[in-house]
Amino acid sequence: MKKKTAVILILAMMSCLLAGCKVGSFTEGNGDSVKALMILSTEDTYREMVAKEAQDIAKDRGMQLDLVIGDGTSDTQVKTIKDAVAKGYNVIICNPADAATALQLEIAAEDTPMVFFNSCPDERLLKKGQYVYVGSNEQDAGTFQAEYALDKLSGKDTLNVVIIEGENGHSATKGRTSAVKNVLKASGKKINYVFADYADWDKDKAKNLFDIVLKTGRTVDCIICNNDEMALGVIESCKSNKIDPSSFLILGVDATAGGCEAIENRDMGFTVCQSASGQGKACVDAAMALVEGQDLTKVEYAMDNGIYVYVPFEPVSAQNVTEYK
Amino acid sequence: MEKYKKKVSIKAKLLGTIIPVAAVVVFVLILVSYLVSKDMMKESAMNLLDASIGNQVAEMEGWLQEALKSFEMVKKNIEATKPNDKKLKELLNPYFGYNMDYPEGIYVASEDGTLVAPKGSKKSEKGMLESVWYTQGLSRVNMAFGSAYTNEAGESIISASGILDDGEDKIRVISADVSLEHVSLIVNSMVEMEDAEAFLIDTVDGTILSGRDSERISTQLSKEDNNPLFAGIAKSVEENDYVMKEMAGYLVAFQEIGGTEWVMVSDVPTATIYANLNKLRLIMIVIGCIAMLCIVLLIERMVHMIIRPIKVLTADITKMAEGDFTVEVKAKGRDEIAAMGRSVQKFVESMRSMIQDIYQISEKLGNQADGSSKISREMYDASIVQSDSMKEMNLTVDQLSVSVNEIAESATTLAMVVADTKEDSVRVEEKMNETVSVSQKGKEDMQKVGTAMEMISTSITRLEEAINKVGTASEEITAIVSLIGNIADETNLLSLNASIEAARAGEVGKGFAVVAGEIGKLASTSTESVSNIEQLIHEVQALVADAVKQSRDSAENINESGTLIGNAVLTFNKIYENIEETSSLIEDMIEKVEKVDAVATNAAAISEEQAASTDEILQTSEDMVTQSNHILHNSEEVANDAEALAATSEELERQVKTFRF
Repeated sequence: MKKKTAVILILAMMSCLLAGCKVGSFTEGNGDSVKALMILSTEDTYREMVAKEAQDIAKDRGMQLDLVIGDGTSDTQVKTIKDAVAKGYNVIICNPADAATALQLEIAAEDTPMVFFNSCPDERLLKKGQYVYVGSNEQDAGTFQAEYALDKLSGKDTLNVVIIEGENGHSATKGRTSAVKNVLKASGKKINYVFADYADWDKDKAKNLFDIVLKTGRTVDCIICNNDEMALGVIESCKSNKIDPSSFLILGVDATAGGCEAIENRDMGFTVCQSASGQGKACVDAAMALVEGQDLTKVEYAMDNGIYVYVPFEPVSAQNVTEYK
Repeated sequence: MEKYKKKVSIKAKLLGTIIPVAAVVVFVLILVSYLVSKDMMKESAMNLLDASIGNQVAEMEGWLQEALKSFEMVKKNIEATKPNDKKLKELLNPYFGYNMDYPEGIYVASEDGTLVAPKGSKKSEKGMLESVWYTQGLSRVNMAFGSAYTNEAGESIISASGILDDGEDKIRVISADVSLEHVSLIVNSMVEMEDAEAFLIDTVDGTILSGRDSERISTQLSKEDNNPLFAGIAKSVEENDYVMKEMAGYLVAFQEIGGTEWVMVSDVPTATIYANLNKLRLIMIVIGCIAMLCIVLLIERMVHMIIRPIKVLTADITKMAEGDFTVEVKAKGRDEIAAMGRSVQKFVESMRSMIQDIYQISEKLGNQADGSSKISREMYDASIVQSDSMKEMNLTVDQLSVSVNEIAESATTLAMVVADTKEDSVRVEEKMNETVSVSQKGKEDMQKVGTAMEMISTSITRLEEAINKVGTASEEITAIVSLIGNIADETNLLSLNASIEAARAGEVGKGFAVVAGEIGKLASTSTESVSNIEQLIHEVQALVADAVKQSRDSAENINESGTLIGNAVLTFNKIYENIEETSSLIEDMIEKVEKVDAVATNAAAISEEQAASTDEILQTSEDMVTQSNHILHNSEEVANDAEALAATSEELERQVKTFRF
């Protein structure tokens, strides 16, 4: 009889606890006492936009969100994460310096859940409810670029294409470039890759590369860049070589302020907006879900596998550029 | 009895049940473990292939990175020092034959067609600007491996090339060659799985960069390839579908190589994977057979041991069945069979004493049976006599019953006739009542007709009066008309006088004469009209007189009819009275018939009861006859039984004597 009573008591207490959890989880935006750390690998216009948006959203939710900007090495990131765990942060939002080192970052984080963003680790290193990725489907950005280029150059049977890529090995570089190449290949036209090299997302490197392209004197129809900064580098190169940038079709990604201005000036033809505000919000939403021990089902744009949140890309050209300024 | 002849031993039964069940269990166990092992082996093979290709790719990437890094160092050095062609050659010389990965060393081509190659290099300037390595080198600054091509010496080559970023306006391309044979060597030396093969494919144009089969190196993949494996790989590469899959009897894994457009393809024949599986299957079958054999032997021995005491017991019981209760059952042990043996021993002992008792009892029974046989014979004779007497009595009662039934039938018939008569008289009364009501209605109707006739007569008298009034009125009209006539005549006279006076007056009276003339004419017309009216009135008067005469005739006729009708009413009344009398007579008659009916019904009921009673008596006497017959029969049977009993007790005595105890 005593045993029975004990069992009933335990069951009652458990159900109370469970009910308590449920009630807690439904009060959206209750970020009280949640401490989150956001780590950027380096200073970067776009990533800082994401971080700023995330901080604004976190403030609204009452979540404490601290920001650390690293020096671009994984060693520093590992140290930062170990510190964060010691200081008792509930969740870490991390832009990995090198996505290939994600496993070390996860080990450093011990049991603390992590939201990766901007650079995507291998799918095998992500885990539902523990390690998730917030970003955009990089393939879509490349697809938009290639489709725009094919549309604008529909009269030509042979396309002379220059591709200025981001960092070698970066998930965005791989995804965007492969999508561009696949879509161009599928068009059935003869695609002549006049030049294709990495400029590490950097404007000056891109300028230098395009200076060399111009020196080779080969015919160029379009320059597809993995981001807007590099596209701006290409435009600068044109200007310094006294060539009208609008004589080429220049495409970027990110719809940064500089990129949008270049589109308005007709120097650049097209960019793809990777919604920094959307990614910032998604980072905070995903972090909150992980802290509450949930999967991503309630997070907007979450994929069915529960490890990716893909904020959609939006194509930007002269027609709609004013909406993105 | 035939089917019991074929004896099936318990041992055979047990073995026949247990062995097939054990065989099925062993078979299922082996099958399940075989299937599970098959899945596990396949999975482990897939994991192994995955790991193998992962390592190959990692090694390949490492090798590429290492090679590219070496090239980049040279390149950076050149970019920094900006040497002239002579110095450049000196700088490049040490790399010739320095590393077996790129034995030709590093060379630099200028857009003006000059080539700076290390001493000993066979590179020539011929067709250099159109070469694959030069044109592809123009498309990048960071050195990278390009497409495969065949060099002047007929070797399949890939070059790592890129533009020298030295800030000069003259474009120069730096390049280094690696033979595909060498790449194949690297790729194949990394294969970790038995029978596995690896290819390196350039996805840009589907060129096979390396492979075990040197024939295929630097050829292109085609979906129409005769070898279904290569056709399948071509399809996957074209669709960018890099998931591990089985095709054409091979398990094929794909992995892209970072920093290049290359895909590493690794395949292993499924036969190799399943080779161990076949061995496993064989071992399992052998183990299964041996296990089966052991089980059969073990069970056979066990069963034999267990059922041995049963055999001994069976022999004892068989003897008992033959009537030999002198057996002694020996039971050892504590199991069920030993308990059974002890019980059988107890049974034998109790049987022995029982048979002895039976033997003694049967002797006594024999004597008693003889006595009862005699008595029952005598009883049988007595019952024959009783039975005959009973039959005679029954015959007498039967005749009595027939007579009583006849009386009952007659009484019933009478009652029925009377009942019919009663029904008929009731119907007569109903009819009579109907007749009374009809005649009463007739009487009333006749009286109504009389009243109507009187009313008609009154109406006709009133009509006559009205006509007479018309006659009087027409006489008055006549008087008035004759008055008008007189006036007309006087008017006429006056008009004549007036005309004469007018004539006398001459011309003056001419107008007057015309008026007088006209008045004269009017007066004569009035006279005419008056005479016409008089004539008409005379006609009316004649008609009125006629009508009066006619109505008087009608009145007379009607009065006559009234009298006749009055007579009819009287007659009706008389008929009605007669009918009422008849009705009351009929009612009296019905009352009497009802009384007769009651008496007759009573008589019928009583006689029927009597008949029933005699029937019962008859039945009882018949029952008695049957009973006495039964007694007769039974006493006969008792007599027979007593005889049989005597015989049986003799037989029993004889039987008991057969047991040995």
